[in-house]
Amino acid sequence: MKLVTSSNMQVGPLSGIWRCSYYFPSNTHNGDDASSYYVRLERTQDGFVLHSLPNAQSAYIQAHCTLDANLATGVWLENTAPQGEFQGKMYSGVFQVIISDDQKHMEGRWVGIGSDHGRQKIYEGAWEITYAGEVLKDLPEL
Amino acid sequence: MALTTNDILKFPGTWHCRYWYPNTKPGGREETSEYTVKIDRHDDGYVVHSIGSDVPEAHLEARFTVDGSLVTGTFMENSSPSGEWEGMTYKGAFQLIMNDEHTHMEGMWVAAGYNNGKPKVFTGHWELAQAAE
Repeated sequence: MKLVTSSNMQVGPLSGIWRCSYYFPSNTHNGDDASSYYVRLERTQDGFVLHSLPNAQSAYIQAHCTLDANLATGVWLENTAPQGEFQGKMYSGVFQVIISDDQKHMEGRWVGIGSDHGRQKIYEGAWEITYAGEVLKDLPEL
Repeated sequence: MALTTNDILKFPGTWHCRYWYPNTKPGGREETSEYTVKIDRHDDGYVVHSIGSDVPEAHLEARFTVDGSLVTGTFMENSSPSGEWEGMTYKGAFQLIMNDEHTHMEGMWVAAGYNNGKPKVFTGHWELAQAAE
């Protein structure tokens, strides 16, 4: 099988704290807004699980994916902040990211459901997962 | 992958699967890839497999689950060994919205492709429509 990334990367433990950000079309201005979380990644046999760390907004994200060398393909689920712009709505979707050679950065896109004036619609945008540091207490607030 | 358990749905007959992708080669523009597929029940979800395509020796397989009107899954495409993409395998994921009659699904895919010789993740439009019972 000749995969597009033609990589034979062996992905390591992906330990530490990572910053996961995804970008979506803003409802309040031109361009994108970002949704960012500090997350941990846990390796599974054929991929990894991602889960956010507790934050002041009580928003959560989780995802899981399978790995084909440096290509991660998976599903995500977000519970937005109850007091935030999206009033605790739950969003879900899929994503794919390519892992950098130093395994500190992953970059790709997401696809997921949202609504446009009450009508269901599928959206897409950029998705990034970047190594942030070993422990949360040293990291700036998001 | 589904969030809730659905009734078992039937997707009989043959379906027309079409997706749009940016041709990343110089001077390229958006193109479509088309398959005739069947959809069968498998485990807690459904499998899609191509039985015909507009390009010889190209194959598409996909798996999805259904949550209400939301269809979520992954796919793998083997492009034609003799075609423009030289037998490259594309793997990706998709999410679609299904109509009330369960005869039409529409949404987007996400998958890696080439961009100036480097892999990059793209998205594009995707449609699955019942063609014949």
